[in-house]
Amino acid sequence: MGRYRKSLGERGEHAAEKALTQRGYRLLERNYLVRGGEIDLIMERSEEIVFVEVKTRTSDRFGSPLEGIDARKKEHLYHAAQVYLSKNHLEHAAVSFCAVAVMADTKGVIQDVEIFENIFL
Amino acid sequence: MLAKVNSVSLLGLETFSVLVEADISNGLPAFDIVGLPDTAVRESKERVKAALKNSGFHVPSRRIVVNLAPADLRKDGTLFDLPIAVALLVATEQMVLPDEFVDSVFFGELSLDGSVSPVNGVLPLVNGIGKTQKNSMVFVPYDNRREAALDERVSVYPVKDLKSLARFFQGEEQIIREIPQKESFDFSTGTFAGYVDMKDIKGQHSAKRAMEIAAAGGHNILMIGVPGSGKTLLARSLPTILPPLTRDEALECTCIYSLAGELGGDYLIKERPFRAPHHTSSAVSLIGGGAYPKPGEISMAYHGVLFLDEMVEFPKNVLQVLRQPLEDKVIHISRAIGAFTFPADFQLVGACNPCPCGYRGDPEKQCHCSESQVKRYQGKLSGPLLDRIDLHIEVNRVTFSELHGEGKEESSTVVRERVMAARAIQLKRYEDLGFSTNAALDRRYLDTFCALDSESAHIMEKVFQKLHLSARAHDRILKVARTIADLNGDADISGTHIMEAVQYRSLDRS
Repeated sequence: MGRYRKSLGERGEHAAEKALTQRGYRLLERNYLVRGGEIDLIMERSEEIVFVEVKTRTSDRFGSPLEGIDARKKEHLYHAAQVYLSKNHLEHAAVSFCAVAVMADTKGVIQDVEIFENIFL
Repeated sequence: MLAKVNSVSLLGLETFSVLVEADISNGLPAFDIVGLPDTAVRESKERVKAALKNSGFHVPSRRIVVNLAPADLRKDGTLFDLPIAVALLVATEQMVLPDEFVDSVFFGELSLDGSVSPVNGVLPLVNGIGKTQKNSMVFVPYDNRREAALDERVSVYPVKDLKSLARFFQGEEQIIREIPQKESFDFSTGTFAGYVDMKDIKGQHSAKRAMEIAAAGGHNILMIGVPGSGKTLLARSLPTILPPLTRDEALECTCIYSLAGELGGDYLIKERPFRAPHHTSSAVSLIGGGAYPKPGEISMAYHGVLFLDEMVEFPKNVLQVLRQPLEDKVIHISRAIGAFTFPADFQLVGACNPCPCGYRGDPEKQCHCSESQVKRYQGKLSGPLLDRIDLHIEVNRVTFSELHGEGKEESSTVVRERVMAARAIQLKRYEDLGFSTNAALDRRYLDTFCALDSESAHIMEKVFQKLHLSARAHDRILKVARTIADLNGDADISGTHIMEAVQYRSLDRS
């Protein structure tokens, strides 16, 4: 991972967090890391825990940002979410998953942030 | 929240109740269907989600579990889509089932747009519901409403789509109960579409006579003749001279066709079935089977005709498999998921050539077969299957003058009247005995109903000795003679009847 990519990803996550906060979400955790999974953002809104996956892209050439969330990714997210919920005694909480697609231009300037709520069932 | 909705499923022609439960709880979002669902049922999940969404409802991002009880019986088919959707709507509090509909039964497939699609086996399903819970209210796919209404013990509510069903339960829309059609169940004015009217068969008077006897007494018949002699035409004329279906017979045939998915847009079978499987058919397609058993040709021919053209070309193991059903009138199929019984009461019509090249005995064309070839060919016809065929006839080629003759042939309607008169006699004679045709006469009743006076007994004895008949052949001749006497309106079997009956044992004579 080149330094450029890493900071683009970071800036994307930051933009996502800002957009979600504007929508009434409250931040609980950033970059929650466990063995076997990682969650970019854990937020909370109306007593529901929301696990957020952020995908930042500079072009559509390799597919829309959302297409980066495949079955394997879903497994990892679920796993990490499970660990978070049990560690924090939140097994019976209302839970949902959210994806944020961040589009940046070739210079790395954030162009658009799109929020997709309830992506998994 | 937990919701429960009644549904129903089929195992062969038998129904069993299925309780569809839906539970919504917290936890990682998931949607699981349990209760040994098979592929189509597991796919329900996707259809239900899309249907709910496209009907203006939402599918919560929660942990959803749908159980199909009893959980240890395998579930297959798409008919659980509707009850699952209803259960979900109730569990997510997007719809309330009014008290009077809480025990109603629901089944139907869902399209992605929320409309309810028709399914197979509706009449058997409804029969099962009507038998165990009279006056049940049943919600069925709109296109299945007429078939469902054939059973008057249940109240049928046709459903077009999820949205209108929800509005109905909210009191905002009407769903009118389907009133059973006043079926007359009088099929005597059928048009014989697809069959052959006897007036269109030129000549072949003795073959037609044999067909008439076969129809009158319910006898199985084998036609042996050169190619092009008209065996197939004759076979196809049999359904036109058989009595029309009775109400019960029509409903029974409809059940089987519905289960097999062969109703094709109609909701009631109105004509006697005529099934003509090709000789490359497998044993399973003939007698039924599959992992979730479906009826075979012999069951599809229930109350009708099974025509085996080129009978000799059928593999021996396939023909063997017909023996038991011909005796018992049912077929038992055993599978991992259970034992099934389908009805198999059909009239068998067989056709074949006299030899491999087909022209043995023909006055015009020369036969090229060696004696051993002929023997081997005819050997295929022997055995227990042949033993169960009452009439064997030779069908000869039609002459030019017969083909172009001005003579009018009798129409099927006329022949049918004679057949029905003979059948009426048999019905009365065998009242309360559990069968209704001479062909079905059990050995023990032969003395009672086929008694011979001294003259006919004498003739029978002579024939028996001259042709070295077996006991079985003897019995069959008696039964056929009984039918010939009935057609003639005679109470007793005379020597003439016996002589004619013997004519129809050509394989015994050669």
